[in-house]
Order: sequence, then structure tokens, then C-alpha cells
Amino acid sequence: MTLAADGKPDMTEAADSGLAVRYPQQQVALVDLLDRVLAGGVVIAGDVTLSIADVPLVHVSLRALVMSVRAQMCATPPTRPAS
Amino acid sequence: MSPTWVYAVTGDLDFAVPDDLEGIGGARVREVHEGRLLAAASSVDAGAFNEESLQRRLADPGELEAMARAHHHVIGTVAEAGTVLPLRLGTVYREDGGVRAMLAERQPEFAATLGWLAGRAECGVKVWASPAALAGSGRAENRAPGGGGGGGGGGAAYLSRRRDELAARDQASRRTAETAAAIHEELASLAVAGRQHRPQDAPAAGPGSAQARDMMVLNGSYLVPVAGLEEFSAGARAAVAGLAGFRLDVTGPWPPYSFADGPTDGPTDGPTGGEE
Repeated sequence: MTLAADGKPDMTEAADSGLAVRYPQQQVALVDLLDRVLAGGVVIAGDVTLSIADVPLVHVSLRALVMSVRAQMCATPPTRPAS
Repeated sequence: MSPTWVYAVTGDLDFAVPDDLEGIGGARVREVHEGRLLAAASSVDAGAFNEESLQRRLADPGELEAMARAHHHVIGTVAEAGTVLPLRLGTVYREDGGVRAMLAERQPEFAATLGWLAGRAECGVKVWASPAALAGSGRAENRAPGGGGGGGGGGAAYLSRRRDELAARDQASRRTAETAAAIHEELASLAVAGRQHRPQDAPAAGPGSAQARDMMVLNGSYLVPVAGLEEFSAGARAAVAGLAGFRLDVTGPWPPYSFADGPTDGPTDGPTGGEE
């Protein structure tokens, strides 16, 4: 039951354990990925030399950077068809 | 001694990193075990990954993309084998010992979150509103210019008309926000949980497209049972299909990045948690 690579679920029957998910890789839009890897995920403080969330300056510059990456995206046509 | 970059945590102790799995900088990914948890990690170059140089790398769009994609690639690979808890990009330890200490310390919390995430995946839904929807479907335009008056009646009439226009625009954007919030609530009710990211400000389409001026009004993530991904996707489409001027894009499935903090207290959670 595999659907097109435009973000619709892409699921593969796993032989042993019922349903398994296939996670899209290369076709993932960078903006969507940055939303998740920069704002999602477990934030850990501790014996961490660097964790982005612990460094406010990096956080600020990242926001500016993400905006600039997004601005650049208007120069390149979207890779996925609008649905 | 090389610092250790950590990608994700899993409770699937049988997970063996594929030999050819490459992480940040092309380094081989390996397992770091502690108790009932396992972290996927790799070594990074000490000189290139001190705080200062990491900041520099993150400020370079090309480097940021390479790191984000490498991070995602490893997390996706682990997620395809079992339940995964993604770590935020840029979590680096001085050595593996620090990773093991962290796993030991957070074990109960991670185990609980992994249990909650088991058999579920994240689905992204982005909703755009057209300029007409954002302007309140032309209501302001229909109302404002009086047909009868000869030439508008000067400054006072202009100011009053202008005030009406601004009020109408205010009202329209409030309505749009309410619609977006209602869509989020409905989607969250179809899911185990919902979180909101900041709407993206990139143009929705190329300059030539009719959708180029659409604005994103909702950038949501929804935790959905793996077996129900297609059903959720169809439900999301149906929820927006009846709304004139609104359209959506479904992305994913994603490893549960937006739900790594567990059932409560999500960083991007709106006032409505959308818990089951």
C-alpha cells in the first residue's frame, strides 16, 4: 500500500510484525525537516558540550537562518506538487 | 578523544546499526548501551565540533542542511526498526561515558515516552489560506465604497472608510486564526495528540503560481497509530475540503520528533493538547 512521495503515508508490510513504516528521506522538504530537528526532539542538558537549546545566541541566529533558508526556497520551485 | 554526537534513543536492545549507516560527516553510526536503553551515536571531529565551530557550521545553510539530513537519516533508520525517541539536532557529548550517564539518569522518563510512542508515527499537516480567505472573502471590499457619494466627501469620509477597512481586515485575520485553531483541534481529535509548529513564512508556491500568495495558517504535527496513517490523512483532507480558500499538504510519516517530550508538556503544544 505505497502511495506517491508527496507526503501521503508510505507503508510497507513487514513480514513478521504487521505494519512497519517507511520514513521518507531524500524527498523530505528542508523547511519541514528543520521545523522538526530544530524545534522537536528531546532537549538534554547535562554533560553536554553543546546542545542548541542551551545556547540562546545560537537559537537566535538559527531563527534568522531558518528564515533565510525559507526565503531562498522561493527561488527554487517546490519539489512536491501542491495537493 | 572524539566527541559523541547522539541521534536517538530506543528501547529496542536488539537493534543493530546497519554496517553502512553513515551519520554526521560520514562517520559510522554505533550503539551506546546503558541498562534497558540504547542510543544511536557516532564520533565527530573534536576540532570541528566545539561550540564555536558548531555555531559557524549551523550558520552555513549548506552545512545545516547536511547535518539535518544526516541526523534525520539515522533517526529514520532506527525508527524503521523499532520505536525511536529522536534527540534534538546538535546534542553532543565529550565522550560515550556522558551518553551512558544521561541514559541512566533519564531511563524512567525515556521508557515511559517510548511506551507512549510505540506503534505510532508523526504526520505533518500544513494548511494555507488564500488571499481571498485572508481578506474575509471580499466582504470589506463590497461594503466600503459607497456608490452614491460624489467623490467620497473628502478627508473625514476617507478616514472613516480607511478605519472600516482596517477593522474588516482585523476581523478577517481573527476569523482565519479561529479557523486554523478549529482545524488543529479537529485533527488532534483524530489523532493521539497534536502539536503546532510556527507557520512557515516561505512562499507557498513559485511566483507564477496562483497559490504564490497563499499564507500558511497552520503547521501542525499529529501523533497517529501506524495502522491509521492513511485514515488520518483522509480525515485531514476531508476536514479542510469544505473550507473555501483553505488547502492543505500532508507530510510524513515522520519519526515522532514533535512528541519527544511525551504525552504532556510539549514545547510546541497549543492550549489544546489533543490528548485522547
